Amino acid sequence: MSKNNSLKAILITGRSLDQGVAIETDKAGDLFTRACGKCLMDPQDMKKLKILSGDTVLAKTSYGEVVVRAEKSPDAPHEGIVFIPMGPWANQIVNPSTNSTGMPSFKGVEVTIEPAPGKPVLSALDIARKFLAK
Amino acid sequence: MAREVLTDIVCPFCGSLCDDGEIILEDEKIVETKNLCTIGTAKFMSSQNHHRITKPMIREKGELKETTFEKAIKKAAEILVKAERPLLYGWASTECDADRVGFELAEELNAVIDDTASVCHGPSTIAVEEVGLPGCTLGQVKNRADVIVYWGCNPAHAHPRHMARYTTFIRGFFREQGKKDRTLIVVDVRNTDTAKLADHFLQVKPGYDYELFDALRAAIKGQPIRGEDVGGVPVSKIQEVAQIMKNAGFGVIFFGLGLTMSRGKHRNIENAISLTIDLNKYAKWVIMAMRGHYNVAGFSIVGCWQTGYPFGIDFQRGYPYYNPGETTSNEILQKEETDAVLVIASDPVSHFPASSISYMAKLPVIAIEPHVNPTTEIASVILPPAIAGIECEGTAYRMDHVPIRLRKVIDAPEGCLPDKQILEALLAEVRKLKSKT
Repeated sequence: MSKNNSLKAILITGRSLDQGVAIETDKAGDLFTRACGKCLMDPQDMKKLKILSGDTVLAKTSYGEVVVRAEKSPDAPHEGIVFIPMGPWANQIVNPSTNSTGMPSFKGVEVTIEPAPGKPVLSALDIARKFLAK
Repeated sequence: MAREVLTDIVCPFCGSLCDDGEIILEDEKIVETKNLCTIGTAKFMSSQNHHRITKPMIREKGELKETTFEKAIKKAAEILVKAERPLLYGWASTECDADRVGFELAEELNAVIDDTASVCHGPSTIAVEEVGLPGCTLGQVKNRADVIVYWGCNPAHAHPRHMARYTTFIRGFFREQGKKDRTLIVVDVRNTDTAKLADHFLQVKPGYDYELFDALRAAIKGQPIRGEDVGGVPVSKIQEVAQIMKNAGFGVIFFGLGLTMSRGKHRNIENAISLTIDLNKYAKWVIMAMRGHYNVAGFSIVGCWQTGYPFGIDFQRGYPYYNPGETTSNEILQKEETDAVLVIASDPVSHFPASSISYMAKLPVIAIEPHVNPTTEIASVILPPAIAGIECEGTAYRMDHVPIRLRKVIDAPEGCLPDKQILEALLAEVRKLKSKT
């Protein structure tokens, strides 16, 4: 469903091979941002938003917002589902509620995606520093 | 140039704990690995990277400054002793002896000790406490399994050698033709790289796993299923897969965070285990959690051995108390029920929701951590350790609860002690400070 060039979707977060390599290689560097500061989308959903791989998008939920880079999903078709690899970017917008299990809701969160041309994707350390500054 | 090839090296990355790695050293530096996956290789290679922290640090006036080991231990002990309810979090990516000292420290401090299971297979543990666990070792899967189900997990990315070493492609004693002797069923919300290899792929809608388990249980018992699909999976496909499962010689369900993190959480796992129990009326079936961190299973083993509880253990009362949802890290942080945090072998600033970290960033944080990461970025004290399984030995438990001895491959940077020794020094300093008050 597209409205005012925004897309309502379900957010799934999780591991990926690139994410695993990045966290074990260098969380302070650009590799981590490239591996996890991104949003894998169904090509049909990208068409609706008129965006291409590499464009920045703003992902918003009831719990926060984050700028990430859109990328065509290799696991399509999954229209209406977007995937952000686990990491500081995804965790700005996941549902912190645990339903008294200890486990926050990292998967299945309602999210709105909209194009965010020119907005920067922060690094992991920048995101951490923002918490310190609060 | 002195070249050395070390064999039978255990990889300290994921719960598969592959033990057939080869590490090639030149002049006592790791230059190459063999047999390991790309993530395991990254872990071994990055132990020598520029972003390694080699000196203890203390934050002064907002800046991290190098200090001595003794001063950092003293500062950390002061923080912990002063705190009313410290939270000791992490533990899954270090070895069991370090975890054991961690429990001693938690008891001494009346602290809460919790590991990454809290945000991984904690709900699975709750489910196992409710309905039990028909399990086995990965060796049995390799030699016997002819029907393999991966549900809500993507081993092609998260446990890259799992299918090749233990389940799908490997030849087993009773499965001599490897993949040809096995049927692979994958259930996921996306057509993942694991799903692409499947003989049967069930693409379930997010949040509908519980219903799909119910439907499979009904189909197996021959009960009718109303409607044309359940959670987006056609009923005809559910019936087909149910028959394959009933006719298995030895079936195994591996499940991941697709179940523990989605709507239903521990109830999803309860239903998965109940399906396994139901299937045993017709065929031999077992079930296993795809544990992420290489020793997350070991922390639970140590916890159960020391306190009777597997994670989220609270010593506030002077004795161990366990109540997930109350004594687990994210609730404690979100409800602002702790006043100091020790993080070891983990990076919660990367992997906890923002609302948990907003509060944590206001607290004194002690990080026992070898690399620069978002958690060290907010830490008040950093103690850099030797990396277990690369720079020191120890014991870790594989996802099937088989203990495996980690090997030492190279020396740690000068002054970097194993986690266990850092914790022992911290415990001694805590006791010293407490004896003065």
